[in-house]
Amino acid sequence: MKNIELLSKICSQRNTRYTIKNGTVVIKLNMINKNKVQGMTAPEGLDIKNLFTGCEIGQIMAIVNTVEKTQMNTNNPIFISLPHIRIIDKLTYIFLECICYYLIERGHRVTFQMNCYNSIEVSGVDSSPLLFLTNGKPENMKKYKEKFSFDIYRNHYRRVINGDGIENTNFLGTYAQEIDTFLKPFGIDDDCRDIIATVYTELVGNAVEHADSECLIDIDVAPDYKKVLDDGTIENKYYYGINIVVLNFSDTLLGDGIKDNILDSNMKSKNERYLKVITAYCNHQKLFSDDYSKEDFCNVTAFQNKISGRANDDETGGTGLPRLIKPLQEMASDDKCYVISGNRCVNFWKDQLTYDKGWIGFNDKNDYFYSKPAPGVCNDCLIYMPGTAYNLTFVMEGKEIKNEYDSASF
Amino acid sequence: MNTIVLHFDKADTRIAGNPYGKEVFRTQVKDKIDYNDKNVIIFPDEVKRVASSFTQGFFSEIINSVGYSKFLELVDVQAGSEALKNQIMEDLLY
Repeated sequence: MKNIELLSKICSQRNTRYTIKNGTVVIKLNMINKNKVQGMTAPEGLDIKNLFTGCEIGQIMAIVNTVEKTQMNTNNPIFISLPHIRIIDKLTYIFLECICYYLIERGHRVTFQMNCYNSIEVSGVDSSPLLFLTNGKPENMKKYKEKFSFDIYRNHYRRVINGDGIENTNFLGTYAQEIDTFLKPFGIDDDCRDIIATVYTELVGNAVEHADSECLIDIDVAPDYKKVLDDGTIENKYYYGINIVVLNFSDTLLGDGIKDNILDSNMKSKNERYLKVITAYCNHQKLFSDDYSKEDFCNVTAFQNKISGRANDDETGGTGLPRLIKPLQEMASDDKCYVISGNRCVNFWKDQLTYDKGWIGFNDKNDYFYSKPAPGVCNDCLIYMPGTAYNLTFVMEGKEIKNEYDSASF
Repeated sequence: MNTIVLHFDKADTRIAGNPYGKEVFRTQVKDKIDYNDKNVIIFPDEVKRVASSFTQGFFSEIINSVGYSKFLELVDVQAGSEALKNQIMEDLLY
């Protein structure tokens, strides 16, 4: 995957202790101390026992970086053991996949053993290429890389998309149709499938065009879940999860186009909407604080309608992602949607995703020009994300899904 | 009235991508458009979905030339359904 080497930037620490046993670097859960990496702490208010989040991803990467620095070109085998963990969301285990891919690319033989508690938003881990690494056989390293890049089977869709040389073709439309076809057997209605395919085209198009990188998209459908109520009884309704991750590794971050081509540009743009962004920026400068920065302003500006951040001053360009995902959130009984880029995160909360004449404020006033986003919308990221990564999870109430694969008996 | 019929691969029921939109404009529309007449651009019936990225790339040269205010005087769109036509215009104009 293009730019996978940027993964080393997730954590800058390169002096972490690690264990070598018979020439194999051993990374075990009990070695990962939540508080050891400078500046990283577990999210406040969460029961952290067994919880596996971006904190732990950063910890693992700190060990990997230290090994790379101290072992140089030795290419030691790596053994990662993570028993009885609760992975917080899909993006977190996708990062685990990326770490293993990174290690294999650098010549390491990887053994990966994990046991995680099942939940609707991480059920896709059962289809993860990580399953190829449980025994660490050399021949499985190649199989891992193949499945990392492409897999369409049962509940799981995965592609790593490279737009090089095909930008001027309908490759995005073709893959969108593929996703629509993938989702059909799960009883997901037309509107919902259509929005998901559209979200895909917008996000992947942005990655391959603006970030000049490959884009990883992973979708899993988790059918037939039931909710355990507060009193311990099981609700008599079926739920299914649609879990989507879209990520790319790049030196270009989410808000860079806005910062470089609109705010900091010496070009005197005549684009009316770009001029309005500059006006908004002047207003927001007075609001900057420890919790809300220029980077946050650029990130939320990236989601305004007709603001693409392109340098060529196109009058058209840029469609608000929130406008696309809000209908999915309206359909869902629960959702967890956010994007991380650099050190910052933007949370997509349903109640703050209303557009006013093409502008979105991410606040209760629906005001982009004079008001900053609501508290908590822009937040610290637990790691440094070199590029952009979206986690979009929707829990939909639905009927029991009998997909085509289950209906056949062998 | 100047009519321009667009052609896509028969298998393409969805079209997407800003650069692709610009390419289709360049190869199928640029030399045919009449800035002194009403132009009707026809999407084939096989196309069921048009991503906003395509729409914005496809019409960018016209918009950059005449602006949004003159656009509606210059261009009309026909598509396989009224809903698709409305969606294309909404993605561009709103």
